[in-house]
Amino acid sequence: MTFAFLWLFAGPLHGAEFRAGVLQPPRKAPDFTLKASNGAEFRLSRYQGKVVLLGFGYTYCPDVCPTTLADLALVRKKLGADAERVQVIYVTVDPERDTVERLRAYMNAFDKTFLGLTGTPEQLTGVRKGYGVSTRKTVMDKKSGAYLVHHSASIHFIDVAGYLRIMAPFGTSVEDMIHDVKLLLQERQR
Amino acid sequence: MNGNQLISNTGFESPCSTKGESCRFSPLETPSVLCPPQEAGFTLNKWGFTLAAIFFLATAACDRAKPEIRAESAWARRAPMMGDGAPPGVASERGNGAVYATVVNAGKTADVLIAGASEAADAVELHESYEMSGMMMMRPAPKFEIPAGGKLEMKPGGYHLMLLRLKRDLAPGEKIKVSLTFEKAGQVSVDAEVR
Repeated sequence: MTFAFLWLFAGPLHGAEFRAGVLQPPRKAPDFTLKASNGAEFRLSRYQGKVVLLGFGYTYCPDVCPTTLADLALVRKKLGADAERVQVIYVTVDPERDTVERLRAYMNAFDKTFLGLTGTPEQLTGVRKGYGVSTRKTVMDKKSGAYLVHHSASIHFIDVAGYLRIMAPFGTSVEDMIHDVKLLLQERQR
Repeated sequence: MNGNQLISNTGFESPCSTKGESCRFSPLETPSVLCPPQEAGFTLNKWGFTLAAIFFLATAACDRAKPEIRAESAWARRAPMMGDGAPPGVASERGNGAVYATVVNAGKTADVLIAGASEAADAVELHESYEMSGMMMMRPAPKFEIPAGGKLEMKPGGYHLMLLRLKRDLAPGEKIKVSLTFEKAGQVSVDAEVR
């Protein structure tokens, strides 16, 4: 009796759980249009059918952002053929300095398929609001005006139907991300 | 033949043991000054022992003053230089990078990492990334302390060396030279492989 009860919870219902932070209930990922580092216009809703991994950052960021991008590059690499159905997009939190050219050079250093996105400050604020992303600009050197942009560094997993499903905080292992992406890829398009 | 016999012949109280082989002096000199006291052989060993002890203590003292610091498994994150040839303005600045290493302090006193430098960047700063209210933050750190017999592990999302304004692309497989300056150990050089 007890075992049957345990089996109910541990077995069929929870057998294939996501490992990163699950968003319950799933909500439609807010759509947006931004300028992409490949020169084209990017519209999120056109990517239904793919799993979209969305992150926020900037190219002057030396530690957290390149770590995230290198991890995501590894996720795609280890997915093999499945990687074709995974699109990584990285929205800048520093449109003042991150030009399309800069974003392209930066993305290419990690994975040629990655798309860096930028837009007007208003557009970008709108996107951040939709995903609950906060930023804070901190001037490090008053003379040169050099600054850092602190930001939320989670990766948002959008499923093939365009629903926001998972938020993987910074530091989520590559293995766990692959695991969750595979589960999302197995789902049928709604 | 040897000093002992000569001394004995002078009629002085023998200052040296007959066992002592290295007790050599002329009978014309004052034995009480030059010749070690009784049982010279044993005494000399004791002297040697004392000297060794002094030497040992001195070396130990040196160890304390100069901790053994080494940087292990240093690596740099791949990063494009960018900014080169870009039109003047805010976006023209070159890109940044990061170096990580584990600093091991095998010495008996703590040491402090106070600065870094690299041929691959204009400047190197000590930084710390940390999480606060859901955001990943970064701040410069004036120094990294490495406890005696302990280590400091730099890693992504934590302590790291920030490379400011790269002089070239950091492509996987390449190596860059990084030097770390410690308060006590001075400069320690290390090759960091780009990953």
